Amino acid sequence: MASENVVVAKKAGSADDPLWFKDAIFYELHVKAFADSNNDGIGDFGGLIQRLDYIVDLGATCIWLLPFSPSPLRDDGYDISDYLNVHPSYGTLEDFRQFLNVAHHRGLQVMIELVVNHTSDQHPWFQASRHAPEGSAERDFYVWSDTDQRYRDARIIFTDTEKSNWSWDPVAQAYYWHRFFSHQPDLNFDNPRVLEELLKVLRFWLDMGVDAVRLDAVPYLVERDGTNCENLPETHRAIKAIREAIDAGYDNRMILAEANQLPAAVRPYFGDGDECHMAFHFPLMPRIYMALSQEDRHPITDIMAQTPEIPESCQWGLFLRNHDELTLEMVTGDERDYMYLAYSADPRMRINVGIRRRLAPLLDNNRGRIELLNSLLFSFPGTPILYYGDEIGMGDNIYLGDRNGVRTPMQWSGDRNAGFSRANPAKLYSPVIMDAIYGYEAINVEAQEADPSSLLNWMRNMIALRKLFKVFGRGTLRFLDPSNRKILAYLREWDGEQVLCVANLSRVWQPVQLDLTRFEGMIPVEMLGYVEFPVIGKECYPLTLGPYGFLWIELQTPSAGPADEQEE
Amino acid sequence: MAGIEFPAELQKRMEETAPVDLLVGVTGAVDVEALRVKVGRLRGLALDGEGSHPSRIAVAYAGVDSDDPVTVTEEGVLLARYPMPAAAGEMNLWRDVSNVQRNVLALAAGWQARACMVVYSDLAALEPETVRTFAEPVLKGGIDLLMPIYPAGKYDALINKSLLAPMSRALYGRRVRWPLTADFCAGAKMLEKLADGSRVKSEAGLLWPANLVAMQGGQINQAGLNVRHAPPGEGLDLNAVVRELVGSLFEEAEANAALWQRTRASQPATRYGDPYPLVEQEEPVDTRPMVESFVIASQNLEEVWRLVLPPATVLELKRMARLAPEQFRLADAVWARIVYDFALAHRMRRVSRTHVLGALTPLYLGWVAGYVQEVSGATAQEAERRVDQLAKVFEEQKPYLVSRWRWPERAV
Repeated sequence: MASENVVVAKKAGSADDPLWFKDAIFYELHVKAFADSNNDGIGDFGGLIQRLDYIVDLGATCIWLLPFSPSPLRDDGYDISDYLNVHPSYGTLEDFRQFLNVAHHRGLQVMIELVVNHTSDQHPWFQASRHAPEGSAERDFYVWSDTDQRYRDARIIFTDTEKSNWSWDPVAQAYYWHRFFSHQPDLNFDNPRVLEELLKVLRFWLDMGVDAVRLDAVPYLVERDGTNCENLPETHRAIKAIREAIDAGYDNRMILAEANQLPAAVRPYFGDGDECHMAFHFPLMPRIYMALSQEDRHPITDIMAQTPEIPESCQWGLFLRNHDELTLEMVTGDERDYMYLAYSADPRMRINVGIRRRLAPLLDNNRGRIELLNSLLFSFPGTPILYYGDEIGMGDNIYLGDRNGVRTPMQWSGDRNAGFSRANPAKLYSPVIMDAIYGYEAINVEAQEADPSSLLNWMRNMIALRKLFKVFGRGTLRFLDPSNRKILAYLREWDGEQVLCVANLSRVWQPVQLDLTRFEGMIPVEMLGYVEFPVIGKECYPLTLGPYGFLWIELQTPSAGPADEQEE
Repeated sequence: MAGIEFPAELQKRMEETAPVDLLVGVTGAVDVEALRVKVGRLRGLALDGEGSHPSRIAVAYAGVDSDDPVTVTEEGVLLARYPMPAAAGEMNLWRDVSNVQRNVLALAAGWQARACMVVYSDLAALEPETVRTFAEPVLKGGIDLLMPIYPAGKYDALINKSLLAPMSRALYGRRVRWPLTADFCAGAKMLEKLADGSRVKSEAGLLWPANLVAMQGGQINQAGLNVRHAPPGEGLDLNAVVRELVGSLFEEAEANAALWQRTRASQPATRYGDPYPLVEQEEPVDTRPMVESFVIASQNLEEVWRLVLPPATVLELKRMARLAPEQFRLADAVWARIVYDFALAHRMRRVSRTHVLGALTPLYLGWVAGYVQEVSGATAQEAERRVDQLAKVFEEQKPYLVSRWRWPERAV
């Protein structure tokens, strides 16, 4: 008789530390947009492998791959038609395996997408479901209804394209539920078989060695009448089951929740450390832009004051921009109006409830502002996530549809197609950026690698510096409260490390007096240049910062003079 | 344990005979008869202080045969054979020694030893009094690492004196004369850390015991050891020696940047016993070939130097190349900054690492030429003080390294 006490060894991840993601630097990219190795105009895993050195040299430690599974590509791959394969345009499963091995060999972790909420309407599960009789197991994989009046309190997310969360299916002769595009039917998490199948998918990729998964659109898994169908207890039960499966079979893996909610609503996604390891801090991002535009720290300190404590083993994911629009769902109506006026003068820059622009154009290509915002990204409590191309200040194309304007080919050089592909330019999956300011001839990796003062080299230095100090990924945060509100000052502390960060949100010089009396006698050492500042005394500590200037200051205890060698 | 696995039979015998007080691990193959004679002299050695019981000692050496891998000698000492790790190649001799040292330390950890004394395969350090000098403070006094001070004349071991020791001291904050040695004794707490060769992701580099223990906050002391080993690299050309030793120190600096950048000022490492008499060397050394190498390199390697060094240093080197040999001096501060700039270039990989280290060698010869001329009339003790002065300058210049490391584009 088989023993019930057989202990099955967990499958190790590529990282040694279970909390590796706290010290990580994520780099988000599309396989299709990064590098094309077979010159068909579409990026692929072969191209990505060739460019891994670039990511390593940048200092990123974890690659976040946007969806790369087979898909009709009506939502940039978030409409998956086969969870267990690679889209033929990007390569094969074997190519993915090779990529994963090479990435691990270079010390990189890899995060992929697990689109759990919905599939493509082309997925065999949906095709079987719509043809299956009511009440059958196949039919029950999705959320069907005879009426489109259920769950009426659920908001519509893609307001520009969808008028309802229900669509009529003429084959099934019923309405199906979809929180996103109508071609993305929601899976039915009330059916236990759905979760079972998704766990098989999860294990398929984790067995291969994937280090982390991003759970897409996670607040919307379950629907209930009389609710807004977001963040329901049943949704959390499903996430706990996913986490349990990971913890039971694997070491040092991570799941990240995409929950575009206010911090208090995101907090339950960490559970008691038994749901997601990480979750994005969505509302911080628009407020950083707002603070910059208003030259006032309040939007940032206000949202951070609303941010609850999270379990020790968990972490926020921080970003300035990503593959989607700069989402304004989690700001007030007035704030949204302000943001539209400040950051999207041309209505074409707007989409859904947000602004579809990259980092550099949002900041008018102002180097000082770009550096300032990145300094916040790297010094706030959480793990920074960079979006490919933002490290060189790539631009966008607001004339492309949907959010495709921020998903253009990576600009490697001033050569044809920006060095992304040798294909006929007409064959590219997307035109490269070609305008005078952000075009590939002006903005590209090759040029910036050769320029010691480039944004790329600045980013490399900043990332390397951040990685020297675990306090940034693991430490506590405490804001100081100087009277000059154009100055944002905060302390990060962890395991004896104390770092003071001071940022000038204004376009002109600003003075500030900081109450550092708690640190009397300590020596502030500016971290970028390792320059000692005057010792902290009993009075407020005066500093002056230039336009969009920032300081990272390590507070050091004065060392005793060198003692003489002793002999016994 | 730290990726090192031993044959099942050896593992089993270790478990059966564990724990031991001290494992003396010989790093390499030995003349077994000579070893048995030396081991016999360890009979009754009590290392836990006066009046203590004889210590339980095991001695391990590299070797394989079909017999029991652990035997007990007539004197009651456990004698074990462990398999020799594969050689890294003839150009990586120190790495071979380091790999064997890691094996010995892993063996000690597996044997639950309270201390592990690593001795070089010439067995020179395997004498009862030496074992007592090294193991007793560790077993009795809670010392984590006891490092040797070898006898050396003023012209001996100049790579150590001019670069390895002062840079280690500046980075890791301990005044250890010989940070890379063939003999040392480590306490139980440090065995697994020292045996772990996986910190550097590629192949395990050299084992720098003092630097590793310093990073763990351990207690390091030193003791004189009156032996002179034939160094593993004897006969190798200087470039190969620099490549292996300095290259490894630079690699460690890259891997441990977050730690050494927190260390400020150095602590002394207490010395036990009689300070070993310095060796007086009267034989004059001709510095002209060194100066010539420097001058030729200043023409041939200027391109690399300009990539690695800031303009002010390159100008200083050009000035030096014009000096008469007898006036040739490389100021300590300039030398320390040169070493730090090369460590940074090694990290940045803008030039291949082989080229970087190759371009450092003639600069090292330049420093040596100046040093030799400076101490030619000095006693060994005066020369020691001169070397200590250099180490202090390395410490004073550390902020320069930290600053450049954190923001490499800035150089003046």
